[in-house]
Amino acid sequence: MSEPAEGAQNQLAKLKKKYAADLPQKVARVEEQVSAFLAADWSQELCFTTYRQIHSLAGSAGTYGFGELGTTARTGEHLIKRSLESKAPLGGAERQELAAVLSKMKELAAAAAG
Amino acid sequence: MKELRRILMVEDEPDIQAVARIALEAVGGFTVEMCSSGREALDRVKAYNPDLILMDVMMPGLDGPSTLKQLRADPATAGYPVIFMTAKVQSHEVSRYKDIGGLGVIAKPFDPMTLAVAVKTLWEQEHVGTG
Repeated sequence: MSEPAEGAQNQLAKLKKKYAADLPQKVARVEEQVSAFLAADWSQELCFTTYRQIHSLAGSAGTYGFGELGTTARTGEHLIKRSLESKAPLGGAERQELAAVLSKMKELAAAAAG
Repeated sequence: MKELRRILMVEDEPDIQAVARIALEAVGGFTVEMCSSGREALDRVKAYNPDLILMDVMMPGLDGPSTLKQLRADPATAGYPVIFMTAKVQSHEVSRYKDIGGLGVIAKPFDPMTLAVAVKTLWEQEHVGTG
């Protein structure tokens, strides 16, 4: 490996380690946002904020090499997107699915953080 | 062919900014200026004068396509090439981003070790034969 590439690998490894350590907190923030969204009267702003937050985690987790967490978050993102597009609250089955998604995300984040 | 050196990256997510900076600077050898929003990019693009703008599609406030529209509306910034980054890379969406003036699309999530190559490939496809 060339020196610049090796240096980049080291920088990326350090960054990934920090990202992994922060993952439980990141997922907790998403969970908090989802809870607030589900508890409140439906609003486009709240729905979009929730969508954006889980979308960001889905994208960053995949880029940092946590593919399963990224894919799981993407499932949650799609559920919230349905609500955003239909301009209606999530139904019971969708809420259950979202709860399962968040539970899986927490599990994966804890495993990543070690 | 014009050489690609300076990239203005427009991305609101700090975690992605951090990894992209390493991917583009340490791996790719480019010089990178980072903006956190479309508005900030519009404010700073003339001063930085990048060879290329690498821009997230989905951002709060002014999203990527709206930012591109505003860049194109100003003769002083209309010529900056823009590559979009997005998780949505179905073929019709790639076509849509090209139709509105994007050079191409890079899928998210991206591999930090190959992002620079992907950017350079799209750049070269556009600039081959332009002296």
